[in-house]
Amino acid sequence: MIKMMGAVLLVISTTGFGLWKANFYAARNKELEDLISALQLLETEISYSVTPLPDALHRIGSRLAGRMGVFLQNAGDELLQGDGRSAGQIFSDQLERSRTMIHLREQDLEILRTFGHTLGSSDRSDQLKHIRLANSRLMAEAQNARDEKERLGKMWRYLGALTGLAGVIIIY
Amino acid sequence: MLPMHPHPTNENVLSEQILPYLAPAIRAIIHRAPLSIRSNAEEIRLREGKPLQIYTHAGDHYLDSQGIPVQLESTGYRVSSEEIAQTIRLLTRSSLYALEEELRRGYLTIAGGHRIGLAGRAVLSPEGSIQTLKHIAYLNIRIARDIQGVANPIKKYLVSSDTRLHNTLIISPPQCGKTTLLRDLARQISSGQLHPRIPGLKVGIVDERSELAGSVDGVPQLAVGFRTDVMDACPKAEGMFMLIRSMSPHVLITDEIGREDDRNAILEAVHAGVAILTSAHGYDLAEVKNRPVIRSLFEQKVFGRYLVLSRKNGPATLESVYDKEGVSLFQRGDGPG
Repeated sequence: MIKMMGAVLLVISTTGFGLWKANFYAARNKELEDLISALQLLETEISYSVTPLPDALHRIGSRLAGRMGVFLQNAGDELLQGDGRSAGQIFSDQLERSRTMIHLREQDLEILRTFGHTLGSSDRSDQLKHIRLANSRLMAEAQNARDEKERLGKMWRYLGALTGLAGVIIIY
Repeated sequence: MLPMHPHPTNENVLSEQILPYLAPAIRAIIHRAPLSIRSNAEEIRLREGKPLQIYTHAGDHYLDSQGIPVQLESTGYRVSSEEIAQTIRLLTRSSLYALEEELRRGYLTIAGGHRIGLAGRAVLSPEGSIQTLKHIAYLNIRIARDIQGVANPIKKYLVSSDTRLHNTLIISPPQCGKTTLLRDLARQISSGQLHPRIPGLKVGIVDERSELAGSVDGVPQLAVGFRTDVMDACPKAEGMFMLIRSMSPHVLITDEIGREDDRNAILEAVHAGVAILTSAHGYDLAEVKNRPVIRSLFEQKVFGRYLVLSRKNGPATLESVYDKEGVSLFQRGDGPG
């Protein structure tokens, strides 16, 4: 009986671990895709409605679910506080603070920091160029993340469950 | 004439409406400056790599890193390029792209009606007109003063014996308070305080440089009266035509005339029975009369009064008043007051 319960627990925990690992890949992909749609919204805000940056970030952030929405909203709020930091510095600080809660990798963060550095400090056509550049870089990363999600995510899901089953076989 | 001690709230204006827009380091320095400087400040000058400077009506001062006014440039606090960049971010809410029109004009207006002049490197469009400014390295923060009642001493010259408003040209060098005076006149005419027998009149202001009403998003930040319509950031001549057609003003107020179009618009307004209050840069009637536009207006006797201002006894000191023939009605004595 106890052996039976142990076996069930083993399968549940290894499967859970596998799903948790797999979720990493899915979450990074989701965050990158959120960022891409956020930048597309930002492009519209800047080129058509010429919304000031703090309002634009806040508005876009409130439309996005998840971590990236919170990130953009916080960045917009901090810009309004008026200590003279640039959007780039605020992005860096925000990302540093929420480092443990987001799934983006260093190369993704680097894109955001570089982009933040140019944000709001030049005229409209220049801003649009930078947004498009950042967006195409993010899209490349998103493609990469999608591949990993497919390959490694699937692998971890199977690996978790199978490891549990293998353990059960060894126990019996 | 004018209160020599400026408005008591001027210090609050500085700390509440101006300082939040400055880089934190500069904010702290000005915050520590003596009260006499803070409450008399007219301009704050930031120049990259140069000492921080404050102009009051008594003269200019450099501030050192402790906020103490000094006369020697070498002891003044040097403004860094990062501080300029921070200030620009705060002024533009990190949205330089939203201010293309302002950059083309070289200034922006912030809440409270204060004007920030910008200078840097101009970027030209292929047609040769100014497209935008880059590398902004010079900032001039002009603190708008809303001195209500500044027009009181001159009111009596504006009203004719049959209680009609004279068309009036205010002649003054820069920084002598002509805009402040026009604004107070707008407020008083609009609220019926100008003359006991003149009720409140409809006033139209054409505010080409957003200085008279200090509008932000079209809303005046300074008191211009309740019967006043403001056409903000609009070329003077066109704005005057538009207001005459659409808002039926009794009085049109505009700042700094000088172009041919302005003259035509003024003639049009006068023929439509609208009184005109306006101003021109200059030191005396004889000098501004040499300008073709003003000479022709003078010869046609469009203006009933010419007021000449100086800042001998503080801003908006009335130097002299002339009637439509150029005959002097008032000359300030050289003694005090």
